[in-house]
Amino acid sequence: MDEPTVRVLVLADFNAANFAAHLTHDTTEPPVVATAGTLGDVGADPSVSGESADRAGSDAGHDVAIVWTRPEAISTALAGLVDHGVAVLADVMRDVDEFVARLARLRGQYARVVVMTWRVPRVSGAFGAIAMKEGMGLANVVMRMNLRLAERVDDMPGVVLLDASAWMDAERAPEEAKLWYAAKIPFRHEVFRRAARQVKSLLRASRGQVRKVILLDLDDTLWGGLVGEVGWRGLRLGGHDPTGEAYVDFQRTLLALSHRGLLLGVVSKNDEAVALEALGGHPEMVLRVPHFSGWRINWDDKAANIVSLAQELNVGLEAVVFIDDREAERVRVREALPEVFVPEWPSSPMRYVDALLGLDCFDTVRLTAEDRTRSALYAAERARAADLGVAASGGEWLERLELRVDVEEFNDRNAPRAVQLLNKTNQMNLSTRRLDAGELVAWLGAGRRKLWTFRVRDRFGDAGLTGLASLEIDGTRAVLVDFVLSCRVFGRKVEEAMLHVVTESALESGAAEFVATLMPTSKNAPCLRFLEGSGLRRDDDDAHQFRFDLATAYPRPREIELLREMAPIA
Amino acid sequence: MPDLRAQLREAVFAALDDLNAQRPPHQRLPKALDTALTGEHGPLDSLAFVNFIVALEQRLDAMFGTTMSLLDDERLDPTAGQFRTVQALIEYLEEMRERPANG
Repeated sequence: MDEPTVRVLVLADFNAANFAAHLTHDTTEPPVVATAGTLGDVGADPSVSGESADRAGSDAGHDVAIVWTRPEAISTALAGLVDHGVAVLADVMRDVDEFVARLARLRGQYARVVVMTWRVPRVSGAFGAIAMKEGMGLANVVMRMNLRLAERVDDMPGVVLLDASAWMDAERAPEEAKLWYAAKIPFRHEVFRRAARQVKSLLRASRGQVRKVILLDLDDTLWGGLVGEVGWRGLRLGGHDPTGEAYVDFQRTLLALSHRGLLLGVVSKNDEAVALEALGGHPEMVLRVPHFSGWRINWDDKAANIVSLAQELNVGLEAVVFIDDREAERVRVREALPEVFVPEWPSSPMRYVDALLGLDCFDTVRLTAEDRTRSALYAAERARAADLGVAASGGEWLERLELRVDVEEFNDRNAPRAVQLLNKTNQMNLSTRRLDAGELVAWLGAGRRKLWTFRVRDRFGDAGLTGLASLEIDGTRAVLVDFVLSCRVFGRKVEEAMLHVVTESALESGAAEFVATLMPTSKNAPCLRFLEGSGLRRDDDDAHQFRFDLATAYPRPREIELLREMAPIA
Repeated sequence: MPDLRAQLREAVFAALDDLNAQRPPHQRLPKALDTALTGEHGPLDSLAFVNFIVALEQRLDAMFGTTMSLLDDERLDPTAGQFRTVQALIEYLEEMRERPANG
């Protein structure tokens, strides 16, 4: 299915034509059509610039606004520091706050507002050794402006602040004076190209199109040497060895990514016992066995192992990245599994960290508690699966789990995770609609609608906020709009508990009939199978529509303890 | 010693690559000597012309290690003959390289 084109308006105080061109012609998904706004001054005169931006946005129907400004154009007080050598910090901060107020108004016009941090102006070089001097150094003041901006937009839904230094610092000289004097374009093409790639990565992330799993080879990928040949004591890892240090740094970078919610796994041709002993025994190993959510360490075909491991982790192949130092293995996996992203990989381990950080596929808009603990969740899942083996029946296993589901209405605290779940979940997803926080809040406010979140825990651990459902009351009909459950908790009657909760709320809100209509996709067959066995009645003339007469209560699964705070839909 | 004209052609083609990265496929300029650049029906508008010249300066700078200032040249005129085609531009650059420095 072709991705819908995202319409972007770039609001800058400089000529943004080159940036808009790079955004439009970057070949990665999603397709973008970018327009450079004619706004002369985004921040200094909020009323005038606000009207201009509103017109530009509404006329062309843009989805996203990107605001990229120079600090001296935003703050007259900062300009005073350059022109007269003095600036009152409080005045500069007031200018930043006015700029943030301007952003808040833009937020109502666009689904997302992306803001670039400020770059210290080139004239800072004239400040020499006092550039960082408290209150009088230009670099010092611009850094404070950026911190103030970050603080102020941190809790603004729909606004994302991008660190422009990430792509400025990658260039030896990001500014191009000739482009500036000839065309009022402050930066080189490469800066705009990198910025465009980051924006595209952000757009993918905001729609849940991110890679979730990194599957790694071991020998000469995670460590140097063949562990089956030299044993773990002979591996190059850490120590007084440049190559060994590079492998440690690579592992440390992978660990940092896992703290952001990425799952790590191993797919390696080795003897499993030998490889696991190395992971557990080598004193300088950063990544240990518990850091990996699963592994296939054997002599079988790696493509087959990747498919099997992805199934175990309940992720689609389009969520997987496979890293291997051997070209033959990369080619094999690329050919067999085109959905898996298999990046080219440098021959030198000292380039591994750069290669990993350059992949542009792990971006995330918000970091939730579930992201931080995802590896632990999979470890608990392994323990749960082992417990299933000792239970006499599926029913007994569910009893032994001591399941508890906490139901909570949508609120500011659970919004980031709820939005993430809505945009990332494919299989148990009734409508597969993708909305960001602003769009979801707007939808909830536009009718008799309510959304609940479901947190699932058992004696093995807390699976976190893993379900959501939303309902719209239309007279005596209650329409189930969203029904989303993470694949991590499928098949434990949480689905039935969710239906119990929403049908009960529908009844309390005055509805007599409950309707659920599945919007079929290539991935949500599990949701259809659940509805078919759920006890809802399928329509004779629509195989995807199901109904329930609210004269009878939908039963609560007895194995699940439900804790809820709910009110009828007003 | 590398052939100067071949080096200049390489620099101009590289600058065309830089420019083409910002243009839709149907507007990309072919890397050929007879490719039209400016003139009445030339494909480069004023912004594209500036982008191209700055990219070319950077390529020449990297290639020869000395600055060839095109943008600062008082004779810089997009409608002038030396900017009409790739061939004319290379000949102009060749003449600049071989011209004795002032002073």
